[in-house]
Amino acid sequence: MTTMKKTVITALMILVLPFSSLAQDADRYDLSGSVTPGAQLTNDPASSKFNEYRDIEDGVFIPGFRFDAYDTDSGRFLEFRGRNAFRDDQNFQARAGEYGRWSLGLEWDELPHLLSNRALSPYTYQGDGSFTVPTTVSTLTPGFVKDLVPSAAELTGTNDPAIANYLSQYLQRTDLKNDRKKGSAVVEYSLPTITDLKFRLAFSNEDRDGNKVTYGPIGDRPPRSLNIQMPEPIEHQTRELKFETDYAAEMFNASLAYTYSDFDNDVPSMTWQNIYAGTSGTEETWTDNPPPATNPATRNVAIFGRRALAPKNQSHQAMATVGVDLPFDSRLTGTASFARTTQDESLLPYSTNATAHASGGGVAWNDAAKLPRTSADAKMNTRLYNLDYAISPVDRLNVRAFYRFHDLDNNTPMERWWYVTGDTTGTTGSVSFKNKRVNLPHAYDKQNVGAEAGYGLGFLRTNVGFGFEREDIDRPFREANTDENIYRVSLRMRPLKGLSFRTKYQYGDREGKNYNNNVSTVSYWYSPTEITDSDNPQFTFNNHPDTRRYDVSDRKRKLFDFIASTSVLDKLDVGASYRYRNDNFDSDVAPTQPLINVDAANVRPGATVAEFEASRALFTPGAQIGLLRNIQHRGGVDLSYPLSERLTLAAFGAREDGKSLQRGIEYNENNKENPTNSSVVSSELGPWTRASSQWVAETRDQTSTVGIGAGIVILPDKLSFSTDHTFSQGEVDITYSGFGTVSSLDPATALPDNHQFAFRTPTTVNTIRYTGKVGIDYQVVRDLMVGFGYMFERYHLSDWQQDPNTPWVETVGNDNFQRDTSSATSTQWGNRLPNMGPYLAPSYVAHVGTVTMTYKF
Amino acid sequence: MQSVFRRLGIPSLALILISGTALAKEVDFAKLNPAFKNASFVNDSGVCYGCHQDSKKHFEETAHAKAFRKKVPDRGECESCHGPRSLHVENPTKEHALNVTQQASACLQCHEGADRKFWKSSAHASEDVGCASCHTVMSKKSERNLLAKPTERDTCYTCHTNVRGELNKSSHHPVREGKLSCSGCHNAHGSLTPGMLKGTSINDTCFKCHQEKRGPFVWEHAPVRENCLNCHEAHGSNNRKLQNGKDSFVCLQCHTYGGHINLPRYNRTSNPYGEGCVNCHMTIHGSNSPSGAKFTR
Repeated sequence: MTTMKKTVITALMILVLPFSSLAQDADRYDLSGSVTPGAQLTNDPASSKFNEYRDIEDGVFIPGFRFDAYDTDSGRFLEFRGRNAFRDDQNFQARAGEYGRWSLGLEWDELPHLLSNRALSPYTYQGDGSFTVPTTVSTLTPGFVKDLVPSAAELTGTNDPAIANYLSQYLQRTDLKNDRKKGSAVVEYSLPTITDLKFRLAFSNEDRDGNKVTYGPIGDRPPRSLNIQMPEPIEHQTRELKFETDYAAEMFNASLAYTYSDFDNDVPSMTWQNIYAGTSGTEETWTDNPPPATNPATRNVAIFGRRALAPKNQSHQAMATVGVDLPFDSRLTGTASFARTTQDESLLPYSTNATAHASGGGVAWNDAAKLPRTSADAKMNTRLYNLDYAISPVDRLNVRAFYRFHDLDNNTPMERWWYVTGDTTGTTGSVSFKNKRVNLPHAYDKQNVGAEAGYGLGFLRTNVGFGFEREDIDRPFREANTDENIYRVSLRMRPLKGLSFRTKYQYGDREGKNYNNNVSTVSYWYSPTEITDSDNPQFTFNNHPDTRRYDVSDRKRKLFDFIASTSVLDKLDVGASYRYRNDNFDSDVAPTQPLINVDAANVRPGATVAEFEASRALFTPGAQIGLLRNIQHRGGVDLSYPLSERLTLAAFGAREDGKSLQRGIEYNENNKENPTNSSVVSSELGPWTRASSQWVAETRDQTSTVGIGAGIVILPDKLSFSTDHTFSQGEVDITYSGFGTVSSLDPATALPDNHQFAFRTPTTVNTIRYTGKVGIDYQVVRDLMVGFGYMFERYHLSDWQQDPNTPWVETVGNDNFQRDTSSATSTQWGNRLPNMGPYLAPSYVAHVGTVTMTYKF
Repeated sequence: MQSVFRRLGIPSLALILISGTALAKEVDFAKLNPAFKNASFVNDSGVCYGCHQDSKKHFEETAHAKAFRKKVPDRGECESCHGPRSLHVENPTKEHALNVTQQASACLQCHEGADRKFWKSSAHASEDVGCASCHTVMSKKSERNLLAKPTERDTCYTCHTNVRGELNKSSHHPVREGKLSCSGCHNAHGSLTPGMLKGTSINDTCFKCHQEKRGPFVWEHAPVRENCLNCHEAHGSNNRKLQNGKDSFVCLQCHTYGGHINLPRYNRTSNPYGEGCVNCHMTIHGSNSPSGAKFTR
C-alpha cells in the first residue's frame, strides 16, 4: 500500500512541477489557488459513532487546498485539490490535460469506518487470522464443568460465575475499525484526427484493513453452541482495470468496455481459541449429558474454532453498446454484456478437530482429504442483452419499446458435504447427523419486455404517458419462478414558467408460480440406511408449508410518485417529492397436508407408522407465514431562497413512515412427521398444525428530518456569517402479539417474561441526531481570510437489542456476559453470549471548534 | 483469419471512422425550434456579449469557456449551443429559446457517448429532466461538472428530497460525510439498470465496493445472490447495517423452519440480543467453509 501511496503522490508532484515556474508568464497562464490550514479542538466524544465515516480530532490539518493552472496558448490545464490533509479521511485529486483532447486524473482517497472505540475482548490478535487468549475459563477455574448440556446448577452455579470472573480479568480494549485507502488513475484520450473516437483507461487499487464484528461459535447446534462475539480481521485488496472506447458519429455511436476486478484477501481464514476448553492438543473430551439417543454421551470439543473468510475472486466483464439513428426520428440502442466471476480458494478441512473414525472413512475431520474437493471451483457467467427502440412517429408522440435479458448462470459444481454443524464431534468420530448437504449453485434468468408511450396534449406543456412491462424470472432451486405484469400511467405538466410537476402511478401484479415448499429437498442427501433426521425435507418439509418467501411469492404492488418544483416567486426555489409504495404479498394460502406424498415406510425411527398415518389427516392452519404487507410513505421538501445579495436562506424537511406486517409460527421441528405425538400435543412448543402458535409483528418505522440554514454577508467582502442545523429522528416500533405474549396451549394465559418462549412488544428503538453549525469568515486582507467555526452535535440511541438488560436478557456479573432470563433454559450454552459490550457505538454529545486561515493566490 | 481481418476488418473500420468524421455531429436547430428556420450564424460572440455582458463574466470561469478558447467550435462560442442567432440579434425576443429536451440535443453534440450513451432511453430524459435541470453550463457553481448546486448530492436532493432524509438516518452510506456521492452508484445520464444504477444489476453495483461479497461461494444464500435489496436499504435505515428490518425480524420474513428459527425468542439461542440470528449464522452472504451449509461457518 505504501508503494501505491508513494506512486500516486509522486505522480501528483510531477503533474504540478511543469506549472511551478510559469507564474512569470502571467499573460499566457491563468494560475489560481488557495490553501486553508486549520486547527480543531473537540471534547473527544467517547463514541465511535461520532467519527464513523470521518476524522474530526484535536490538532492541525489542512481542510482544503486548490491549485488551478491553465495555459491559454495550448489549452492545457492542471487542477489539484485536497481535503482534510493529514486526517484519516483525506482526499487528493489531480487532473491535467488538454480540454477536448486528453486528460490524466489521479486520486487518493481514505475512508475510515469506525465501529467501536469501547469494545472489549479477551482475544489478542496474533496476525494471519489467529486469535488467542492468555488463558481459558476452565484453566482459570478448576471446578469448571466441561459438559455440553450441563445441569442448571452446574451452568448457573459454577460456570456462569467462572465466565464472568474470567472476562473481568482478561477483557481488553479492542478497537473495531477498518479503513479503505484507494489510489486511482484515469487517462482519457481523443484521437487528434478523429475527435469523436475516445479512449479511457482507468486503474485503481484499494486496500481495506482493520476488523469488524463477528462471532466465534464452537460446538454443535444451538443447545451446545459455545459462542462468543469477537473481531474478524480484514486485510482486503481490490485492483480494478477498466478500458473503454467510445465513438460518436452523426448517425450512430458505439462503445466497448472491458473491466477486470481482482479481489484478494491476505487473511483467508480465522482461528480463535476456545475460551472454555483447555489449551493443549486439537480437541478435548466433554460429556454430553443427557445423551440424545442417536448421539454418544461424550463429544470431542475443538480447542480452536476456524472458518473461512471472504475468498479471493476475479471478475471479467466485457460490454458493447451500439446506438443507431433510424428513419422516422427513431433510435435503436443495443447492448451485450458478458461477465465471468471465478473463485477457487483452497478449502479448509471441516474442523480443527483431529478425531477420526471408520464411519467417516477413517480420515480425521481436520484432514482436507475428507472433502469432496479441495478448492471451491466456483464460477459464474452473466449475460445481459438489452434492446431499446425509441420513435417519435408523429408530432408530440414518443414511443419506446425495450427488451432486457439478464442471465446469471452459476457453474459451481454440486457436491455432497458432511453436515458438520460445529467443531465438535462425537468421540466415535461421527458428526451429529449422518446425512449430507448438497451445495446449490443458485442462479436466475430475468427477462423484461415492455413499451411506453408519451403524448403531449398541447396545452400547459402537459404530457400523459402509458406503459406496460412484463417481467419473468426463472430460478433453479428456489420455491417459485415469478411473472409480473406492470402497468404505468404518468402525467407531467408545466402550467407556469418555473412550475412543473410529474406524477406516476404503477400497478404491478406478480405471481409466484407453483410455489413449492419442498424445493430445498435437493440440498439434502441421505443414505437410505441412515434416515435418522427429522430435518430431511424429503420426508417432511423444510419451511412451514404456510410460509411464502416474499421475494418469490405473489405480490400486488401499488406505487405512486410525485415530484414538483417551482420557482414562481422571485428567486424562491422549492422542490417537493412524495412516494407511496404498497406491497401486498397475499398469496391465497390455504390449509395443506404436507405429508400426503410421503411414503409411510420411510418414516424415521422414533415416529411410529400409526402416528404418521394419523398425522396425514391433519392440515396446516392455512394462514400465510412470512412478510405479508409492506407500506411506505416517503416525502420531502427542499427550499432555497437567496433573499438578497447578502442573505440566503435554505430549508428542507423529509418524513418517512413505513409499516410492515409479518406472521410467524413456532412449532417443534423434531416432530414434523408426527404432529399427533402426545408429548408434542401437550407442550408449549407444539405441532405445526396449531394456529395458536402463530405470532404477528407489525413494525412501524418512522423518520423525520428537518434542516435550516442561512448565509449572511455582514460586511461585503469583509465579514460573513453562516449557520445550518439538521435534526433527524428515527423510530422503530414493533407491536408483537400472539404466541409468546400468550400461551399456545391456552391463549387466554399470558406467558411470564422468564418463560423460554415469552416475548412481547419491545420498547421503541429511538435514534436522534442534531447537528448545529455556525461559522464566521473574516477577510483580513485581500487574499487572506480567517474563519471560526463551531459545531454542536448530539446523538442519542436507545435499542432494546443492544441493551444489556431487558425482560429476556440479563447480564451475569459483567456487562460483557449476557444470558437468557428463562428459568427453564439455564442448561443451554446457546443462550449465553460473551460479547464485546452493549452499545458498541453509543450516544454522545460533541463540541467542535475550528479555526482556519485561507490564503488565495 | 488474420488475413481476412486485414482485408475486410481494417478497411471497414476505417470506413466507419471516416464516414463518422465526415458526418460531423451537428444539431438541426430549425428542427428543434422552427423559429430558427431562416436564422443564420453570426459567428461572433462579441455581438452576443454586447447585451449579455453579465453572462460573459460567469461563463469565463467555466470549463466550457476554457475548452472553447483553445478549440473554438465551428459556430463560435455562443451559437454552438444556442443556435444561429441572426434573427435574435435583429429582434431580441425569447422565441429562439430551447426547452429542456431541445437543450439536451445541443449538449449532446459534444457530450454524446461515454456515460451519456443511454441518455435518450433514460428515466430522466423521459421525465423531461434535461441537462439544464442539473447543470448550469453558463456559470460555475460547483467544484466539478458545472452542477446547479455546490455539491452533487445537493443537486440530486432538489428533486429527490426524500433521499436526503434517508441519508440522514443512523445507518447510512457515507454520503452526508462527503465520502461517497450519488454518482458512486447511479448514473444520472442513464443506464441499463432500473434505478439508473451504474452496474448491470443491483448486486453488480453493490459489488463495486463490497467485492468480498461477490463470491461465488460454495454455499450461496439465494436471495442474497439475487438482490442485496431483499434485506438492505440502499440509502439509509433506522436499523443496523442498512437492514430493512430489525435484526432477526429480517430473517423471519422468509424463514419458518421450526424451533429456534422462529424467534422472537427460543431458549437455546441468543436471539434477543447481539445481532439476532447473525450471532451464529454470521456468513449469511455466502460461505466457503465446507461446514457452511447453514452459514454458521
